[in-house]
Formats: sequence, C-alpha cells, structure tokens
Amino acid sequence: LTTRNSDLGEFEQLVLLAILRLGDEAHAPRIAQVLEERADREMSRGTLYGALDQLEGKGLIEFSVEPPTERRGGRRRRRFTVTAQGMRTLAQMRSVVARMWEGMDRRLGWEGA
Amino acid sequence: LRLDEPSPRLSRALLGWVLPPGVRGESVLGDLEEEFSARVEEQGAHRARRWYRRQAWRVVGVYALAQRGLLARARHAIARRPPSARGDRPPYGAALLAGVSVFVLYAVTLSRTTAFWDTSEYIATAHILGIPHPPGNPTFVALARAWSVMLSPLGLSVAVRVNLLSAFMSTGAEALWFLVVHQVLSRFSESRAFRLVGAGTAVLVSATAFTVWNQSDVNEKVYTVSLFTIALLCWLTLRWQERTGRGGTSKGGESNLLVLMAFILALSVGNHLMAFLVAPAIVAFVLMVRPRTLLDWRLYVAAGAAGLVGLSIYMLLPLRAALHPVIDEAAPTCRGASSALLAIVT
Repeated sequence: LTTRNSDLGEFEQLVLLAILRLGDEAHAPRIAQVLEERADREMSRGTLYGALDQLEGKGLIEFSVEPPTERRGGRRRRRFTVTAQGMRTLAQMRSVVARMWEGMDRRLGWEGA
Repeated sequence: LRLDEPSPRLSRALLGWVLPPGVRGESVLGDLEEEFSARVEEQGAHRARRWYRRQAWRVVGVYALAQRGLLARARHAIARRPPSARGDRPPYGAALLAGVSVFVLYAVTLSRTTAFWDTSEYIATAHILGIPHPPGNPTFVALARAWSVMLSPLGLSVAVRVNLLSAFMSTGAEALWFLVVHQVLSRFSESRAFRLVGAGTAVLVSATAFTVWNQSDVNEKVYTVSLFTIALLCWLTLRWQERTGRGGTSKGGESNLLVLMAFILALSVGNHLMAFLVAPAIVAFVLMVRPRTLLDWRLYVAAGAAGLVGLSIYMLLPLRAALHPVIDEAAPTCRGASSALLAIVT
C-alpha cells in the first residue's frame, strides 16, 4: 500500500513503526530484530539498509551518529529517529487504512472472530 | 569459543568496496560486525560466518544497484562534449614535450643489437622485406622497411634502425596518450594544471611500464606499432566526439574521421590483431555519444571500402613470396588474384 504524496511502501511503514517502537535503541540491528520478531519475517540486511536510505531520502527519518565501540570494530553507529514529516505520513497512512477497513469486518463475516 | 572470531575477510572487503564513504558505509560495516560477534556467541563461528556472508552479499546487491546512479553520471561525463569542443586547443606542445622526453629515455637505453625471442627474425625481415612467421605481419614489414631505408643515411646498423622504429612508435603512442588523458580529465576538472599533471603522470607510468619499455628498446615484434595504433584510434575517437554537434557543416567531417578509423583498423590487422581489440570500445563510445551516426548507411559503404583498402596490405604476402625472399616463412601463395582477395577478407 502506498500513499500518493509520499510513495510509502508497506515495508517502509513497518520500518518507521519499528523505529518509533525502539525509541533510543533504534539502531539497524535492533530494527532488524524487531521486524523479525513482530512482523514474523526474515530480515535481509540489504533490504533494511535500502529502506532506511530511502526513508531518509524522503525526509521521513533522520539519524544521529554515536561513537565507535570495540565490538563494532571501531566503527561509528547510526541511531534513527522519525521526523515530524515521517510522523504525519504515518498518521495519514493509518487514517487511510482505518477508513478502508470501516465496515469490512461485518462484510467479511469476521465480527466476533 | 573464540570471541575475537574475525568476520569473513572477502565479504568484508567487498562491502568496503561497494558501501558509500563516510558514516553511512562505516555504520553498516559496524552493524554487521556487531551482529556477527553476537551470533558467534549465540550460534557459533560457523553459523555466524555463514550469516555474515549471506547478509553481506545482500547488502552488496542493494548498494551496487544504487550505484547505477554513479554509472549514469559516468556515462553523462563521457557523452558530454569536452571543453576543447568549445574552442580550447588541445595541448599539442606539452604532448610533444612529453613525447620527446620519452624518446630520449628510450634512445639512451636502446638496444644496440638484436636480442632474444623474435627480435632477429623481425629485424631481418624488415631489412629484406621478407615474410616472418604467420600471420606474416605485412603492415609491420612494409613500415619497418620504409623506416630502415629512411634512416640509412645515418650510418646506423640495421638492428639499431629497426629498434628505433619501436622507440618512435611508443613515443608517438605516449604523446597521444598525453592528449587522450588530458581530454578525459577535462571532463572532470577545469584546472589546467590538474589536467597537465594528470596527463604527464599517465605518460610517465605507461612509458616506463616494464613491457612497454622493454619492447620499445628492442624491436621484439610488432607490438609497439599496435600500441601506437590503439592510441591513435583513441585520440581520433575523441576528435570525432569534438566534431559532433557543431551544426550541419560538420556532418561530413564526423563521418570522414570514422571512415579514417575504419581504414586504420583494417590496416592494423596487417600488423597484429591486437589493435582490433579497440573496435568494440569505439562502437560503444559512438553509441553513447551519438547513436544515430550508426544508422547512416553511407558510413557503412565508405567504411567498408576503406576497410578493404586497408586489408589490401595483405596482398604484399603472396606478391613478395612469389619473388622468393631469403626469409619466406610458410611461403604464402594463392592461385590467383580472386583467391588472394578471398583469403584476405575471410
């Protein structure tokens, strides 16, 4: 599902939600872990980094740089946060999806399921 | 359990090569390293290494695709008309100076006699207009014979004269490389000093490369002529690009250069097939710069005719063989003119 304005894909929404859920812990490995646990899908790191770059390019997320650690081979780390624009886009997406689902439970016979 | 287990070296190197510079690439490498360490503890080194390799290839795939943008920019840089097309004259003086410097280097270190391998065979066949081993290299033999005759008033030995041909051909190639590199760099920088230093450095490196220097000091075979031909074709290709887009009057000029290149390519086949390696690159360049050029049927007719003229150098082999020179390897003969032409073209 995509919106016309932001061209936000389903996977990108999941990444945004994972970042929000993780808060101060939103580093790529943790994002991958949350997606694997909650979305029940094996996470290709290539797909994840591609999505993070795209989201950043669209202005929906930003990152701050954290100092290197020995465990990371002396390499710095990025911590991601959702921007105000990203929050608006997520809210819009939720609203669209909610409207589309209105009355669908009755139609599909899912009431009480 | 080894907690200091290193991540797979090849995958890591590949990532380092493909990932973007700065914190983006650095953080991806660090993330994978961090996860790898955690997996070594949880799952063992073998599974962790397998995981790292699998993920590394996926990341490489994504970032290699992302670099299509870089390829597009490189293509744009190639297709863009160089500054010299806007009126700047190529640095012929500097190229000449570079060439003279290289020639002095080769002349000082030139072999005063023959050497190992095929040197004696080619020096001797050049002197007597003979036929060396197949494919006979008629372009080289004719060129070297003419060169040897021209230098005969200097009183040099035949070996030195033919060796000087090698030095001269490499020198010409280096001067042309200077112009080629200078023009390629002009697509990336406006700085004249940068372009001149870059071109000079390229000449220094290529002229003193072991094989080039070696072949330029003693005429072992036909390779320096091939080197010159490749450099000349590269330079003519860039000149052709300069001539494109200068309005209707230049159309004939563009095609003339391509026809000339077809002639040189065909003639170079008579020296060695090596120079023909540049042909696919020329076609690719023309496709990138002005593909519609290749739709002009007149170009094919003219280039085909020029190519046949160039290939006709092979007629030298049966003609000369019929005169029984002292060195007549494989004794090339043909039943008649038609079979000779067929043999040359096929």
